[in-house]
Amino acid sequence: MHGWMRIRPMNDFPAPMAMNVEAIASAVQDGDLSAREVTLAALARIAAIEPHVRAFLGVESAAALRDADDIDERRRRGQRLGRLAGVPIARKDNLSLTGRATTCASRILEGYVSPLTATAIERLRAEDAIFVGRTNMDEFAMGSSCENSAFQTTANPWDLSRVPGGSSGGSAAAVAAGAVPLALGSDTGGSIRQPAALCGVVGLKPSYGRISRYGLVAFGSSLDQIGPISRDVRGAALALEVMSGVDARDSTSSTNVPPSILESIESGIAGLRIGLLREIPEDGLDEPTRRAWSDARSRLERLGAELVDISVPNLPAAIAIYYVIANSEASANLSRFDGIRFGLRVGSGGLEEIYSATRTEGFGSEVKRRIILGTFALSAGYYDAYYGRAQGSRRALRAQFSRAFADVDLIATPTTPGGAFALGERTSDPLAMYLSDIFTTPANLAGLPAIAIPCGLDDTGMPLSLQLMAAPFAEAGLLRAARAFERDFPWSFAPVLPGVNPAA
Amino acid sequence: MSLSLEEVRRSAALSRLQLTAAEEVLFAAQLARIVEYIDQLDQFESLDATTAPAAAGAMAEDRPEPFADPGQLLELAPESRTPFFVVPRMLAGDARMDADPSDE
Repeated sequence: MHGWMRIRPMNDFPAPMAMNVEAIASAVQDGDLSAREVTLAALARIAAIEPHVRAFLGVESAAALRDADDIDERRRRGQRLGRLAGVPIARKDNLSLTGRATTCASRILEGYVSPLTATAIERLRAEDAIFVGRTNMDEFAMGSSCENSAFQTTANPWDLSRVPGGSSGGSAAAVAAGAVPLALGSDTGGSIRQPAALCGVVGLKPSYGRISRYGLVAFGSSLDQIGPISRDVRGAALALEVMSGVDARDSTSSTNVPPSILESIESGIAGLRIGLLREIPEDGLDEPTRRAWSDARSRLERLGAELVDISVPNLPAAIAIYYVIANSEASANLSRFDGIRFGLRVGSGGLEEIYSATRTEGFGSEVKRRIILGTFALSAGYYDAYYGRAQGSRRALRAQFSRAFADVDLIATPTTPGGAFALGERTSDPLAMYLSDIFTTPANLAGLPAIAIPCGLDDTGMPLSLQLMAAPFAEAGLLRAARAFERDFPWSFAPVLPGVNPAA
Repeated sequence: MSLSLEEVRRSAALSRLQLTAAEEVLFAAQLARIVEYIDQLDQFESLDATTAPAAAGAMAEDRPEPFADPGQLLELAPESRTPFFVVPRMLAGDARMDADPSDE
């Protein structure tokens, strides 16, 4: 049980980084804290953790302090501040913010400065949130460990020899290490939920269409969603409320009216029917996960939910379907990186030579592997056997989920088959890396909202996580259940960082 | 089925990517395992996916709008001459065209 030695109370973070999203916002609104004080505290914490965690690709101190001073000035003039007043937020490095770098952790976008701001970020800033920096990720969001970044690896704050998960690993690590109370990620097959699980924080992938993706660099367009990573469920709910809603600049953003989530978030789960999938392979979970998963089910039942066995027969096919569809879409989306309009240009010969020299030098190994796989699946002679077949199985999976949700309100699974693995453990075996996404890819394929919440620690003190999924656009019920679980299992643990925490 | 070295080369060329000989061998082995894994799809239910899926919610109308500052976009290009992106010559008269008929 030596692992427990790494754990300390979350409220040990240097003030005000021990506060959650809502507490910071209300303190700044009421004038108990200035936005500048909060921002300086976040910047100081980032500086302290970065030598160990390496969560950030860029820290935007000057811009963040300018925003903070503007907020403080408006308060002095008597203006009412926004719902996220002074809350420091980190953004994954595939989300655009005008005038600031956005690289997707790729050499091909090194030095690129974004000419536009993502709608999700614009809406958070309109509520006076402060963007403090961009976080590390797997290159173009392709990976489950952050090890595919072209620039650096990020360490899991709970154990610096392990991965933080991916692809939004920098965002999850930054929240877990107390650098920011809230960060943005993107989730194509689990890229918000899996790192949130491995870092012991809350990660929410909203319904497909819930949040505009304008300004998010596209990976798999039928799967991608932006979402929050937060220290608590209410923080994620607040961010979701602010970011949600239709946007003329993204035709896939839904006209479905965003619900008021916080209004009903404390009302519990008594009477809710929660589905347990027969297809979950118990032997595919490691022992501590199996125990935590069993405890989580008992807890949900004790809270008044009715647990119901359900079946989604195509669930075991989810990873196969996902890797065909996501990579086919990626091979098309990433064709825009050709050395002509932005980013890196290599070679000075003909057009074809520039295309291929630029892409060959600019993309890392995993990105190349996936583009080639996607191109193969879409190519003449193989299209029906791979892309067509995957689409057919995906359609069946969606229909099966839709039948399941006629019977239950939510579906519960573990978020991952095990806790964080060691850095370097899976880099040489792409398939082994892909298989850790078994529980997260189905929600993307079916467009469902899903949330990862901490539910325990394994024998070495690493966090484990419960996933809840709901029918499309049923986020209110999803977050209500997550909040009920969190209230009953208050997650007050944080990692000890050697040489950073006073307790270490 | 698995993925041959020849298919890896063909897909890489279509992807505008050059692989070293060592990468070709490594990718062929890794992709063969992945494709073999994908082949299990045969065992699962499949529905007709040739028609568009019923949208989970109505999607917003796709309305193009002019970008506020197109000059800023040109500044991001490796090479530009307002209002154009500069690319290598592609039309007849370029000797490379004759040498490389794949540039259709």
